[in-house]
Amino acid sequence: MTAHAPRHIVIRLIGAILIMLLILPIFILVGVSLNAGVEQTFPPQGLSLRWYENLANRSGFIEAGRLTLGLAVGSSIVSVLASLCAAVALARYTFPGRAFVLTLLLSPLIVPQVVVGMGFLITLSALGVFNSLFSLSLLHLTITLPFTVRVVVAALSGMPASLEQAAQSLGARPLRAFFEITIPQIGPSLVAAGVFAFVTSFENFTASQFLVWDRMTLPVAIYTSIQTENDPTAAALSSLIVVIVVVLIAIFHRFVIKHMFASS
Amino acid sequence: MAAVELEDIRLSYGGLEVLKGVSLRLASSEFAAILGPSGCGKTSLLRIIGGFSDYKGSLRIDGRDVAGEPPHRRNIGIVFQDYALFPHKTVAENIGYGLRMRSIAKPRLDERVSGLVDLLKLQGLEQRYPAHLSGGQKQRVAIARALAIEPKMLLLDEPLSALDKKLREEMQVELRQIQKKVGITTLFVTHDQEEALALADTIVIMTEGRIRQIGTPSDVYLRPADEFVAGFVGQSNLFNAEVMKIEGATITARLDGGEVVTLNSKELVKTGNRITFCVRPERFCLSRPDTQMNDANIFEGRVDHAVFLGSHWQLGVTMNGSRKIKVQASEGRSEGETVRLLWQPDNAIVLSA
Repeated sequence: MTAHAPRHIVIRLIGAILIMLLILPIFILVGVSLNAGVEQTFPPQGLSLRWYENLANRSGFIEAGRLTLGLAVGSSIVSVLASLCAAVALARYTFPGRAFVLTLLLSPLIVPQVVVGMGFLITLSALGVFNSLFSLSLLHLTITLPFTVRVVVAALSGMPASLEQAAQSLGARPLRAFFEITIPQIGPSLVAAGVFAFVTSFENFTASQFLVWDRMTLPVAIYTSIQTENDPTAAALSSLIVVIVVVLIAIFHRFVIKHMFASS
Repeated sequence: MAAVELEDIRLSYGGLEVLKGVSLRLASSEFAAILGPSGCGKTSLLRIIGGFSDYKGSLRIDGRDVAGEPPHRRNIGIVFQDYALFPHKTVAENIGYGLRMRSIAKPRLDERVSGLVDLLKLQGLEQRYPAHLSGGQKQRVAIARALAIEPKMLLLDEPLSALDKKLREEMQVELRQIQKKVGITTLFVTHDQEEALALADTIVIMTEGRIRQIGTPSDVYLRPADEFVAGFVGQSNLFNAEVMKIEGATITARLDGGEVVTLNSKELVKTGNRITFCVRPERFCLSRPDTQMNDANIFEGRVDHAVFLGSHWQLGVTMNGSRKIKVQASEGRSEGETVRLLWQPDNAIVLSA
């Protein structure tokens, strides 16, 4: 034990430094947002929540926040439902081209987001579609689908088909067996997939920036703001988003861990 | 309780023929086992009866062809190999699930569930979740759940394979008692011959998508229809021989190794025919100097290995040259020793003439 101790300490130290490097920018961001002054400085010169208050006066941010939230909620729900349908086909049936369909559904994961965004921009412009809400909905579905498909297909494949068959043999119609037996089993995975999709959509900047014709998403709005202004409003907004994401990830963890215990 | 008739059932996956024309008739209240090695098509047959698989041929339950009838209307109880208990439902909810699907009123449902809890000795476990049950308890819940719907018949897929040896033996006895008590037509599939012999009234031996023999446990053991059955049910020693002489039911034949033996068989053979016969390991006697010979056949050989198994010894004996014989003896011999094996002409089973 003692022979391992020094190495143990070195590993701990490296670990601590790495974690610090990851967390530090967020700490500084929160610090900046609490500035009493008008400059983005760290450490903050006096503490104040005025930049958080200021958010309420910035209708651009509020409007962008509404759009971003709507996109995140909408795309996570639609993409979980679509993944569920896809997963039933992929996990329960064999058909020609099955592997191809799965690869196709997962492919947005391997294409760089800049390319996806550019692709959407060029295609939609060519079609004469300059409606941000429509374009961004389509884009966010494309981006979130690989995450949800992956989680839901894995969950359904991991569930023995015999459970549903047992329910059917006991008199449950196939659809009823699916909702009463299968859904409760994969429920935690559906929630996890939804949270995944929500966060992916909520924070997306790279691809979304190409499609902000008439409306902006929050990350794009923040980016625009820090390019033109120097007060800590953007920092306050970013800190707020960090808090929201942390809460969502906490929920996600709770469900994933619960799921792991339930299946053992 | 229903009678079940399968006629020329065929099934192919892609180009692979899994079932090659299976015909089988189960009488009402019959307890039958389909016994075969893995991949013989026995589970496919079960899935077909349950309504979970396409097939060609005809399947009648109580004289009515059930082709195209979905599983939820068949009213067949199934006990799955992994039990398939609903993890998010308690024991009582699991057992009552089928009754709930039939919209049975709560008081009657509770009454029936508690009756099954008694029958399967699950008292005190009603509010537990499957994750907190032992293997044997899970199996009992699965059986109770299948019986709750008062099914026309019961299907069991390798019902005891997940249990340890001691529990398996207990459940064998219990399963048989329950089946007799409820009087339900039951079909189960297994690759374990002991399980099949212990449980079923009728044994159906299957291999490569075909039925090889249907009979009572003693039928398939004492009168196996062919080499596959002889080798699969119990252990056997197979010998090839040429018929030299026939006197009534007594056949004199020469083994390929040169030994001349006499067999008693009602099998129709002619002089000059090549035959295959089987002698079970427990049919050999180790001769002593004072053993009466009578008309017994004698093989001589050396003991290759001797294993003590508690109730008996298992010996491997090599006859002159290379032929190996499995012998189950009541006494031991040391390895390397020369032995004389006696067997009676009645104990040979002529398989093919």
